[in-house]
Amino acid sequence: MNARIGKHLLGLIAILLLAACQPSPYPRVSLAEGTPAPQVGADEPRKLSLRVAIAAVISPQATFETYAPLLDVLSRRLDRPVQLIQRGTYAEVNELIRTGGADMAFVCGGAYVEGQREFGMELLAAPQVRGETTYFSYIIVPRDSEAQSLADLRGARFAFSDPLSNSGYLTPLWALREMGVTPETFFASTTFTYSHYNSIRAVADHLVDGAAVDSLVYEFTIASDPTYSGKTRIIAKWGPFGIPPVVINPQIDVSLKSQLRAALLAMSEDDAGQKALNALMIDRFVSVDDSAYDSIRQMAAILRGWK
Amino acid sequence: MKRFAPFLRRITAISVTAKILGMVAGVVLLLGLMVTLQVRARLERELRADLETRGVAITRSLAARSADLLLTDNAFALHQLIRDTLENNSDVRYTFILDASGNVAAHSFNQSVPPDLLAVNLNPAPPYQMQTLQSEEGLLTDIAAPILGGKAGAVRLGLSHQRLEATIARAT
Repeated sequence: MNARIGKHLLGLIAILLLAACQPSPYPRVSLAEGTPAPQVGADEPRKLSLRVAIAAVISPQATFETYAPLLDVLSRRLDRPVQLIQRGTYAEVNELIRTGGADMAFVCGGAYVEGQREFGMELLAAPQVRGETTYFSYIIVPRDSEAQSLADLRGARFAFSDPLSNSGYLTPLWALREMGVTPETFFASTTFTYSHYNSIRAVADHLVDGAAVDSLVYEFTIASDPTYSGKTRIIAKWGPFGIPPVVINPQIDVSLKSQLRAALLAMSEDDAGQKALNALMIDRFVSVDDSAYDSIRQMAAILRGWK
Repeated sequence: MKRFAPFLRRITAISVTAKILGMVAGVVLLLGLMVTLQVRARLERELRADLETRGVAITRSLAARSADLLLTDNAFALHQLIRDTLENNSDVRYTFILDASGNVAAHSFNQSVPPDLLAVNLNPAPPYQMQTLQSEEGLLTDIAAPILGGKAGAVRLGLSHQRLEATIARAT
């Protein structure tokens, strides 16, 4: 009798042990680090990428989304991969072009005149927007602000975009100079947002009382998100200035330069190219003369103390 | 029936008081065990759901905050973001960020991301994807969130169940 009970007990224990030992229903992983995994595609022979640099004029995410179709078309036309390189400041993009870290870049007029003076940054083409190759610098304020002009922003908190920006720094600095003041004596505080889009957001959210922004970026932002139109308004407009151009390193291969220029100038000639341009609110790319940037160059020479 | 005769003889030999006390004690013990098991299961479910909710929030926040840094190749800021996440969330065992090609752009490990982790919970669909994993450190909840819908990469975050299990053990 006792033997039978013992057998039953042993059976029960065995079942419980088996239940406890059954494999986990979850995938098993080891947290041992091992050797670093090779980079994806590192060992594959591939065509040399065209590296296109863009400063964060709008947000990096918006830049990634809106420039992707244009870069796809460029990639197909040039029969090589195109790599988008984004940087937080105009100076970093200029440095990429100077050192050969990027082949081509979309830069601001202010960054172009600086790069051209420093290392011979070269104009490749320029976008044409609503039939013009010019743009403006806007001073914007919150919609409910009482300010009607730059003079009304005395003692205010003000946002510049980037130290190399024409519309976001050079032009308002010039306007203050004309008024016989400096940002330090005129405003209560100033800040650099490092993107026109950030400046627009800072004004809309009342983080600052005013900001100097690129007219093209302002209009692009309003078109993409009309709520900004209800939160901000323009109180001053300066220009016209030469539109932010597409530039290259002066040392770039001559044939690549010709291919790039041809691809950009012909961008509007087919549907895919036109769609890519529409995403950026650009009519087409055209050739521009360096003299289009003379007014920016003259301001920069005085304000930056060029010899 | 013969089989149970000795057992019945022993039972009938016990006093009524002892039998009642025995039955009450048995019922109390049984109920106690059932309640404990019930509470344990319920507590585990609740704590696990809470852990997962927090993990999803942290992962999605990381995905949103890392997008601009990833797109501008700001490696140091990405590293800092990962460090801050680990320092301020004690249940987070690891986190790493993959770029659009699937290469590791930043991670919280000493040297490199364990190869096993790179082979699971792949290609997360928006808004996130969750998988429970068994490791030498116990259960992990691995959460993957795409960055810009996956076009810019993905964030992976692993939550350890160790603190959750210790809390359940203490409570029950």
